[in-house]
Amino acid sequence: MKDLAISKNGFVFNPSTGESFRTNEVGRLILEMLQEGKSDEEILERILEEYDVSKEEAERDLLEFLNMLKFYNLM
Amino acid sequence: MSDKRKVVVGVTGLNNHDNPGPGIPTIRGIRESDRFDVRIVGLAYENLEPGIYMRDLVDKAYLIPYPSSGSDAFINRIMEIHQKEGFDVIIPNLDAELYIFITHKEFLRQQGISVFVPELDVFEERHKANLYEFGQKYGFLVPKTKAITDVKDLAFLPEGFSYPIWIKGKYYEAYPAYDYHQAVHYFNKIAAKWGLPIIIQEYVKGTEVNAVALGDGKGNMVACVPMRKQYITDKGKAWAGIAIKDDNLVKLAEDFFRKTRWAGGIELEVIKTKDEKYYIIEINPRLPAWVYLAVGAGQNIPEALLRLALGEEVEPMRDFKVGTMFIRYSYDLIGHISDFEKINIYGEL
Repeated sequence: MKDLAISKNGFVFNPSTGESFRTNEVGRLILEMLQEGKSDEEILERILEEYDVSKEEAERDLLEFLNMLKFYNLM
Repeated sequence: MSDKRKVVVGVTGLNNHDNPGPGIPTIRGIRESDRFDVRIVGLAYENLEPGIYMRDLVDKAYLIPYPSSGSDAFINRIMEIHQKEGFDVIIPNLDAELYIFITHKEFLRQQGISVFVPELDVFEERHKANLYEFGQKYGFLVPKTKAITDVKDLAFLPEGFSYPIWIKGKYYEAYPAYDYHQAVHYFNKIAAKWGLPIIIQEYVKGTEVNAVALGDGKGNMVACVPMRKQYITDKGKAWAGIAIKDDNLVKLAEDFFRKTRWAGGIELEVIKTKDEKYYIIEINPRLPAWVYLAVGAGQNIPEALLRLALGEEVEPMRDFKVGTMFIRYSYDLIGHISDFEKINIYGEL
Protein backbone atom coordinates (compact mmCIF):
# COMPACT_ATOMS: atom_id res chain seq x y z
CA MET A 1 0.00 0.00 0.00
CA LYS A 2 2.81 2.40 0.91
CA ASP A 3 4.42 1.99 -2.50
CA LEU A 4 1.29 2.86 -4.48
CA ALA A 5 1.73 5.89 -6.71
CA ILE A 6 -1.48 7.92 -6.63
CA SER A 7 -1.88 10.78 -9.09
CA LYS A 8 -4.10 13.79 -8.49
CA ASN A 9 -6.31 12.67 -11.37
CA GLY A 10 -7.05 9.35 -9.65
CA PHE A 11 -4.63 7.16 -11.63
CA VAL A 12 -3.14 4.55 -9.29
CA PHE A 13 0.01 2.58 -10.13
CA ASN A 14 1.21 -0.42 -8.15
CA PRO A 15 4.99 -0.53 -8.81
CA SER A 16 5.43 -4.03 -7.43
CA THR A 17 2.96 -5.64 -9.84
CA GLY A 18 2.88 -3.17 -12.72
CA GLU A 19 -0.91 -2.93 -12.46
CA SER A 20 -2.72 0.37 -12.76
CA PHE A 21 -6.21 1.45 -11.77
CA ARG A 22 -8.47 4.46 -12.03
CA THR A 23 -10.46 5.74 -9.11
CA ASN A 24 -12.67 8.72 -8.34
CA GLU A 25 -12.08 11.57 -5.90
CA VAL A 26 -13.38 9.65 -2.88
CA GLY A 27 -11.34 6.58 -3.77
CA ARG A 28 -8.23 8.72 -4.01
CA LEU A 29 -8.98 10.28 -0.61
CA ILE A 30 -9.37 6.82 0.94
CA LEU A 31 -6.13 5.54 -0.61
CA GLU A 32 -4.18 8.58 0.52
CA MET A 33 -5.50 8.27 4.06
CA LEU A 34 -4.66 4.54 4.14
CA GLN A 35 -1.12 5.43 3.06
CA GLU A 36 -0.94 7.87 5.95
CA GLY A 37 -1.87 5.01 8.27
CA LYS A 38 -5.32 6.35 9.17
CA SER A 39 -7.92 3.98 10.62
CA ASP A 40 -11.24 3.09 8.95
CA GLU A 41 -13.04 5.28 11.51
CA GLU A 42 -10.87 8.29 10.71
CA ILE A 43 -11.48 7.81 7.00
CA LEU A 44 -15.25 7.52 7.56
CA GLU A 45 -15.25 10.68 9.66
CA ARG A 46 -13.41 12.59 6.93
CA ILE A 47 -15.81 11.41 4.25
CA LEU A 48 -18.77 12.53 6.34
CA GLU A 49 -17.11 15.92 6.83
CA GLU A 50 -16.40 16.48 3.17
CA TYR A 51 -19.38 14.91 1.41
CA ASP A 52 -23.11 15.17 1.77
CA VAL A 53 -23.81 11.54 2.49
CA SER A 54 -25.52 9.54 5.24
CA LYS A 55 -23.36 7.58 7.67
CA GLU A 56 -24.92 4.26 6.57
CA GLU A 57 -24.23 4.90 2.92
CA ALA A 58 -20.66 6.07 3.56
CA GLU A 59 -19.95 3.05 5.77
CA ARG A 60 -21.30 0.65 3.16
CA ASP A 61 -19.33 2.26 0.30
CA LEU A 62 -16.13 2.41 2.35
CA LEU A 63 -16.41 -1.26 3.25
CA GLU A 64 -17.04 -2.17 -0.37
CA PHE A 65 -14.02 -0.16 -1.50
CA LEU A 66 -11.77 -1.72 1.16
CA ASN A 67 -12.90 -5.19 0.12
CA MET A 68 -12.08 -4.37 -3.47
CA LEU A 69 -8.59 -3.24 -2.44
CA LYS A 70 -8.12 -6.55 -0.65
CA PHE A 71 -9.34 -8.46 -3.69
CA TYR A 72 -6.69 -6.75 -5.84
CA ASN A 73 -4.01 -7.36 -3.19
CA LEU A 74 -3.58 -3.64 -2.64
CA MET A 75 -3.83 -3.92 1.14
CA MET B 1 38.88 13.03 -33.02
CA SER B 2 36.56 10.60 -31.29
CA ASP B 3 38.03 8.83 -28.29
CA LYS B 4 35.44 6.10 -28.53
CA ARG B 5 36.81 2.59 -28.73
CA LYS B 6 36.35 1.06 -32.17
CA VAL B 7 34.85 -2.42 -32.02
CA VAL B 8 33.43 -4.86 -34.52
CA VAL B 9 30.53 -6.79 -33.04
CA GLY B 10 28.78 -9.77 -34.59
CA VAL B 11 25.17 -10.15 -33.49
CA THR B 12 22.73 -12.98 -34.17
CA GLY B 13 18.97 -13.06 -33.63
CA LEU B 14 18.01 -10.54 -36.30
CA ASN B 15 14.58 -12.17 -36.65
CA ASN B 16 12.69 -9.11 -35.56
CA HIS B 17 9.24 -10.41 -36.56
CA ASP B 18 6.16 -11.39 -34.54
CA ASN B 19 8.25 -13.81 -32.47
CA PRO B 20 11.26 -11.56 -32.24
CA GLY B 21 14.84 -12.44 -31.42
CA PRO B 22 16.96 -10.27 -29.13
CA GLY B 23 19.41 -9.13 -31.82
CA ILE B 24 17.89 -5.80 -32.81
CA PRO B 25 17.16 -4.53 -29.27
CA THR B 26 20.69 -5.60 -28.29
CA ILE B 27 22.10 -3.59 -31.20
CA ARG B 28 19.99 -0.57 -30.23
CA GLY B 29 21.49 -0.65 -26.74
CA ILE B 30 25.04 -0.95 -28.04
CA ARG B 31 24.49 1.84 -30.57
CA GLU B 32 23.40 4.15 -27.75
CA SER B 33 26.68 3.62 -25.91
CA ASP B 34 28.94 6.65 -25.75
CA ARG B 35 31.96 4.43 -25.09
CA PHE B 36 32.11 2.60 -28.39
CA ASP B 37 32.33 3.33 -32.06
CA VAL B 38 30.76 0.10 -33.26
CA ARG B 39 30.54 -1.70 -36.53
CA ILE B 40 27.64 -4.11 -36.30
CA VAL B 41 27.85 -7.25 -38.35
CA GLY B 42 24.54 -9.07 -38.42
CA LEU B 43 24.56 -12.86 -38.60
CA ALA B 44 21.29 -14.21 -39.97
CA TYR B 45 19.89 -17.64 -40.75
CA GLU B 46 17.13 -16.67 -43.15
CA ASN B 47 17.23 -14.18 -46.00
CA LEU B 48 14.09 -12.40 -44.81
CA GLU B 49 15.20 -11.71 -41.25
CA PRO B 50 14.27 -8.03 -40.96
CA GLY B 51 17.54 -7.05 -39.26
CA ILE B 52 19.43 -7.72 -42.50
CA TYR B 53 17.63 -4.78 -44.08
CA MET B 54 17.87 -2.36 -41.13
CA ARG B 55 20.77 -0.38 -42.54
CA ASP B 56 20.68 2.24 -39.79
CA LEU B 57 21.34 -0.46 -37.18
CA VAL B 58 23.22 -3.20 -39.04
CA ASP B 59 26.30 -2.15 -41.05
CA LYS B 60 26.71 -5.44 -42.85
CA ALA B 61 24.81 -8.72 -42.74
CA TYR B 62 25.83 -12.28 -43.57
CA LEU B 63 23.93 -15.50 -43.80
CA ILE B 64 25.21 -18.31 -41.60
CA PRO B 65 24.16 -21.98 -41.57
CA TYR B 66 21.81 -23.28 -38.90
CA PRO B 67 23.60 -24.87 -35.92
CA SER B 68 21.83 -28.12 -36.84
CA SER B 69 24.02 -28.32 -39.96
CA GLY B 70 26.94 -29.16 -37.65
CA SER B 71 29.50 -27.21 -35.69
CA ASP B 72 32.19 -27.47 -38.41
CA ALA B 73 30.03 -25.81 -41.05
CA PHE B 74 28.91 -23.21 -38.52
CA ILE B 75 32.36 -22.29 -37.22
CA ASN B 76 33.92 -22.37 -40.70
CA ARG B 77 31.39 -19.80 -41.88
CA ILE B 78 32.04 -17.62 -38.81
CA MET B 79 35.79 -17.77 -39.56
CA GLU B 80 35.18 -16.92 -43.21
CA ILE B 81 33.30 -13.78 -42.13
CA HIS B 82 35.94 -13.05 -39.49
CA GLN B 83 38.60 -12.89 -42.25
CA LYS B 84 36.67 -10.04 -43.86
CA GLU B 85 35.31 -8.24 -40.81
CA GLY B 86 37.74 -8.87 -37.96
CA PHE B 87 35.27 -9.49 -35.15
CA ASP B 88 36.22 -8.32 -31.67
CA VAL B 89 33.12 -9.81 -30.10
CA ILE B 90 30.20 -11.99 -31.13
CA ILE B 91 26.98 -11.78 -29.12
CA PRO B 92 24.90 -14.93 -29.64
CA ASN B 93 21.22 -14.37 -29.09
CA LEU B 94 19.52 -17.67 -29.84
CA ASP B 95 19.28 -20.69 -27.55
CA ALA B 96 20.01 -23.22 -30.29
CA GLU B 97 23.38 -21.73 -31.28
CA LEU B 98 24.73 -21.29 -27.75
CA TYR B 99 26.08 -24.81 -27.41
CA ILE B 100 28.44 -24.28 -30.35
CA PHE B 101 29.60 -20.90 -29.08
CA ILE B 102 30.23 -22.30 -25.60
CA THR B 103 32.15 -25.34 -26.83
CA HIS B 104 34.20 -23.19 -29.26
CA LYS B 105 34.74 -20.25 -26.92
CA GLU B 106 38.43 -20.99 -26.49
CA PHE B 107 39.00 -21.58 -30.19
CA LEU B 108 37.28 -18.30 -31.03
CA ARG B 109 39.33 -16.49 -28.38
CA GLN B 110 42.51 -17.76 -30.01
CA GLN B 111 41.25 -16.24 -33.28
CA GLY B 112 40.71 -12.90 -31.53
CA ILE B 113 36.95 -13.19 -31.02
CA SER B 114 35.49 -12.81 -27.53
CA VAL B 115 32.22 -14.53 -26.73
CA PHE B 116 30.81 -13.90 -23.26
CA VAL B 117 28.90 -17.07 -22.50
CA PRO B 118 28.45 -19.36 -19.47
CA GLU B 119 30.31 -22.59 -18.74
CA LEU B 120 28.86 -25.67 -20.43
CA ASP B 121 27.91 -27.51 -17.20
CA VAL B 122 25.71 -24.74 -15.81
CA PHE B 123 24.30 -24.04 -19.28
CA GLU B 124 23.14 -27.67 -19.46
CA GLU B 125 21.96 -27.79 -15.85
CA ARG B 126 19.45 -24.98 -16.31
CA HIS B 127 18.01 -26.55 -19.45
CA LYS B 128 14.22 -26.88 -19.36
CA ALA B 129 14.41 -30.65 -19.12
CA ASN B 130 16.79 -30.47 -16.13
CA LEU B 131 15.30 -27.45 -14.40
CA TYR B 132 13.76 -29.31 -11.47
CA GLU B 133 17.09 -30.95 -10.59
CA PHE B 134 18.77 -27.57 -11.09
CA GLY B 135 16.41 -26.07 -8.51
CA GLN B 136 17.14 -28.84 -6.04
CA LYS B 137 20.89 -28.51 -6.50
CA TYR B 138 21.03 -24.73 -6.08
CA GLY B 139 18.14 -24.26 -3.67
CA PHE B 140 15.53 -22.61 -5.91
CA LEU B 141 11.83 -23.37 -6.07
CA VAL B 142 11.00 -24.97 -9.42
CA PRO B 143 7.72 -26.66 -10.43
CA LYS B 144 8.06 -30.40 -11.00
CA THR B 145 9.44 -30.87 -14.49
CA LYS B 146 10.01 -34.00 -16.56
CA ALA B 147 11.16 -34.66 -20.11
CA ILE B 148 9.16 -37.26 -22.03
CA THR B 149 9.76 -38.75 -25.46
CA ASP B 150 6.61 -40.77 -26.04
CA VAL B 151 3.06 -39.46 -26.25
CA LYS B 152 1.96 -42.61 -24.38
CA ASP B 153 3.67 -41.21 -21.27
CA LEU B 154 0.79 -38.73 -21.05
CA ALA B 155 -1.75 -41.49 -20.44
CA PHE B 156 -0.31 -42.17 -17.01
CA LEU B 157 1.28 -39.00 -15.71
CA PRO B 158 4.43 -39.48 -13.64
CA GLU B 159 4.07 -39.39 -9.88
CA GLY B 160 3.44 -35.93 -8.50
CA PHE B 161 1.79 -34.60 -11.67
CA SER B 162 -1.91 -33.90 -12.18
CA TYR B 163 -3.79 -31.77 -14.69
CA PRO B 164 -3.46 -28.96 -15.56
CA ILE B 165 0.17 -29.24 -16.72
CA TRP B 166 2.37 -27.26 -19.05
CA ILE B 167 3.49 -28.90 -22.28
CA LYS B 168 6.72 -27.29 -23.46
CA GLY B 169 9.07 -27.57 -26.41
CA LYS B 170 12.78 -28.21 -25.98
CA TYR B 171 13.62 -24.63 -26.92
CA TYR B 172 10.39 -22.81 -27.69
CA GLU B 173 6.61 -22.82 -27.18
CA ALA B 174 4.52 -23.81 -24.20
CA TYR B 175 0.82 -24.52 -23.71
CA PRO B 176 -1.26 -25.29 -20.62
CA ALA B 177 -3.14 -28.58 -20.99
CA TYR B 178 -6.17 -29.14 -18.80
CA ASP B 179 -6.76 -32.78 -19.72
CA TYR B 180 -5.19 -35.77 -21.45
CA HIS B 181 -6.62 -34.92 -24.91
CA GLN B 182 -5.26 -31.38 -24.84
CA ALA B 183 -1.91 -32.69 -23.65
CA VAL B 184 -1.69 -35.12 -26.57
CA HIS B 185 -2.67 -32.37 -29.03
CA TYR B 186 0.06 -30.01 -27.76
CA PHE B 187 2.61 -32.82 -27.51
CA ASN B 188 2.16 -33.61 -31.20
CA LYS B 189 2.02 -29.95 -32.23
CA ILE B 190 5.29 -29.05 -30.47
CA ALA B 191 7.08 -32.31 -31.33
CA ALA B 192 6.34 -31.79 -35.03
CA LYS B 193 7.93 -28.35 -34.90
CA TRP B 194 10.78 -28.61 -32.42
CA GLY B 195 11.37 -32.33 -32.00
CA LEU B 196 11.73 -34.38 -28.84
CA PRO B 197 11.86 -34.46 -25.89
CA ILE B 198 8.75 -32.66 -24.76
CA ILE B 199 8.86 -31.20 -21.28
CA ILE B 200 5.91 -31.48 -18.95
CA GLN B 201 5.78 -29.10 -16.03
CA GLU B 202 3.57 -28.79 -12.96
CA TYR B 203 1.17 -25.86 -13.24
CA VAL B 204 1.85 -23.42 -10.41
CA LYS B 205 -0.88 -20.84 -9.89
CA GLY B 206 0.23 -17.25 -9.58
CA THR B 207 1.40 -14.22 -11.47
CA GLU B 208 4.18 -14.47 -14.03
CA VAL B 209 7.01 -12.00 -13.55
CA ASN B 210 10.21 -11.89 -15.54
CA ALA B 211 13.64 -10.39 -15.16
CA VAL B 212 16.44 -9.61 -17.56
CA ALA B 213 19.79 -9.84 -15.81
CA LEU B 214 23.50 -9.99 -16.49
CA GLY B 215 26.24 -11.87 -14.64
CA ASP B 216 29.98 -11.25 -14.80
CA GLY B 217 30.99 -14.92 -14.58
CA LYS B 218 32.62 -14.38 -11.18
CA GLY B 219 29.43 -14.67 -9.17
CA ASN B 220 28.37 -11.04 -9.37
CA MET B 221 25.20 -9.62 -10.84
CA VAL B 222 25.90 -6.60 -13.01
CA ALA B 223 22.35 -5.62 -13.91
CA CYS B 224 18.74 -6.67 -13.36
CA VAL B 225 15.37 -5.24 -14.35
CA PRO B 226 12.14 -7.06 -13.40
CA MET B 227 9.21 -6.83 -15.80
CA ARG B 228 5.55 -7.76 -15.86
CA LYS B 229 3.95 -8.51 -19.20
CA GLN B 230 0.97 -6.30 -19.94
CA TYR B 231 -0.03 -7.71 -23.28
CA ILE B 232 0.76 -11.17 -24.59
CA THR B 233 0.51 -12.38 -28.19
CA ASP B 234 -1.03 -15.69 -29.18
CA LYS B 235 2.55 -17.01 -29.28
CA GLY B 236 2.89 -16.10 -25.61
CA LYS B 237 5.31 -13.26 -26.33
CA ALA B 238 5.23 -9.96 -24.48
CA TRP B 239 3.91 -7.23 -26.76
CA ALA B 240 3.89 -4.66 -23.95
CA GLY B 241 5.47 -4.75 -20.53
CA ILE B 242 6.39 -2.58 -17.58
CA ALA B 243 9.42 -2.37 -15.32
CA ILE B 244 8.32 -3.23 -11.79
CA LYS B 245 9.81 -2.95 -8.34
CA ASP B 246 10.29 -6.48 -7.12
CA ASP B 247 13.19 -6.71 -4.69
CA ASN B 248 12.60 -10.43 -4.10
CA LEU B 249 13.01 -11.19 -7.78
CA VAL B 250 16.19 -9.09 -7.97
CA LYS B 251 17.52 -11.02 -4.98
CA LEU B 252 16.61 -14.30 -6.66
CA ALA B 253 18.57 -13.26 -9.77
CA GLU B 254 21.49 -12.21 -7.58
CA ASP B 255 21.43 -15.63 -5.87
CA PHE B 256 21.40 -17.32 -9.27
CA PHE B 257 24.60 -15.54 -10.35
CA ARG B 258 26.30 -16.05 -6.99
CA LYS B 259 25.59 -19.77 -6.99
CA THR B 260 26.22 -20.53 -10.67
CA ARG B 261 28.85 -17.91 -11.61
CA TRP B 262 26.95 -17.48 -14.86
CA ALA B 263 28.64 -15.34 -17.52
CA GLY B 264 26.29 -13.40 -19.76
CA GLY B 265 22.66 -12.45 -19.99
CA ILE B 266 19.63 -14.39 -18.83
CA GLU B 267 15.89 -14.05 -18.81
CA LEU B 268 14.35 -15.42 -15.64
CA GLU B 269 10.72 -16.48 -15.94
CA VAL B 270 9.11 -16.84 -12.57
CA ILE B 271 5.67 -17.50 -11.09
CA LYS B 272 5.00 -15.48 -7.97
CA THR B 273 2.35 -17.18 -5.85
CA LYS B 274 -0.16 -15.45 -3.58
CA ASP B 275 1.94 -16.33 -0.55
CA GLU B 276 4.97 -14.60 -2.15
CA LYS B 277 6.85 -17.71 -3.20
CA TYR B 278 8.91 -17.46 -6.40
CA TYR B 279 8.94 -20.52 -8.66
CA ILE B 280 11.42 -20.44 -11.53
CA ILE B 281 9.66 -21.81 -14.62
CA GLU B 282 12.39 -21.09 -17.13
CA ILE B 283 15.90 -19.69 -17.33
CA ASN B 284 16.56 -18.51 -20.85
CA PRO B 285 20.32 -18.47 -21.40
CA ARG B 286 20.57 -15.15 -23.24
CA LEU B 287 19.09 -11.68 -23.26
CA PRO B 288 15.36 -11.56 -24.06
CA ALA B 289 13.80 -9.71 -27.00
CA TRP B 290 12.48 -7.13 -24.53
CA VAL B 291 15.96 -6.20 -23.26
CA TYR B 292 15.59 -2.68 -24.65
CA LEU B 293 13.12 -2.00 -21.80
CA ALA B 294 16.11 -2.26 -19.45
CA VAL B 295 18.01 0.27 -21.58
CA GLY B 296 15.01 2.60 -21.46
CA ALA B 297 14.73 2.14 -17.70
CA GLY B 298 18.35 3.14 -17.16
CA GLN B 299 20.39 -0.06 -17.37
CA ASN B 300 22.13 -0.47 -20.71
CA ILE B 301 22.58 -4.23 -20.40
CA PRO B 302 23.74 -4.83 -24.01
CA GLU B 303 26.50 -2.25 -23.55
CA ALA B 304 27.51 -3.84 -20.24
CA LEU B 305 27.57 -7.27 -21.90
CA LEU B 306 29.84 -5.92 -24.63
CA ARG B 307 32.15 -4.38 -22.03
CA LEU B 308 32.37 -7.67 -20.14
CA ALA B 309 33.12 -9.50 -23.39
CA LEU B 310 35.96 -7.04 -24.01
CA GLY B 311 37.39 -7.86 -20.58
CA GLU B 312 36.38 -4.58 -18.93
CA GLU B 313 35.30 -4.32 -15.30
CA VAL B 314 31.68 -3.22 -15.09
CA GLU B 315 30.27 -1.61 -11.97
CA PRO B 316 26.97 -3.25 -10.96
CA MET B 317 23.91 -1.22 -11.90
CA ARG B 318 21.24 -1.12 -9.22
CA ASP B 319 18.88 1.71 -10.13
CA PHE B 320 16.26 1.73 -12.81
CA LYS B 321 13.09 3.67 -13.39
CA VAL B 322 10.09 1.68 -12.17
CA GLY B 323 7.07 2.21 -14.42
CA THR B 324 9.09 2.38 -17.65
CA MET B 325 7.06 0.62 -20.32
CA PHE B 326 7.66 -0.89 -23.71
CA ILE B 327 5.04 -1.26 -26.39
CA ARG B 328 6.13 -3.33 -29.34
CA TYR B 329 4.92 -2.45 -32.82
CA SER B 330 5.24 -3.72 -36.35
CA TYR B 331 6.69 -1.62 -39.11
CA ASP B 332 6.98 -2.12 -42.85
CA LEU B 333 10.58 -1.81 -43.98
CA ILE B 334 10.96 -0.94 -47.61
CA GLY B 335 13.64 -2.87 -49.45
CA HIS B 336 14.44 -3.72 -53.03
CA ILE B 337 14.74 -7.00 -54.87
CA SER B 338 18.41 -6.18 -55.57
CA ASP B 339 19.15 -6.41 -51.82
CA PHE B 340 17.26 -9.66 -51.56
CA GLU B 341 19.23 -10.90 -54.57
CA LYS B 342 22.57 -10.07 -52.89
CA ILE B 343 21.77 -11.85 -49.65
CA ASN B 344 20.43 -14.83 -51.62
CA ILE B 345 23.26 -15.20 -54.10
CA TYR B 346 26.29 -13.95 -52.15
CA GLY B 347 25.08 -14.59 -48.60
CA GLU B 348 25.86 -11.02 -47.58
CA LEU B 349 24.48 -7.53 -47.79
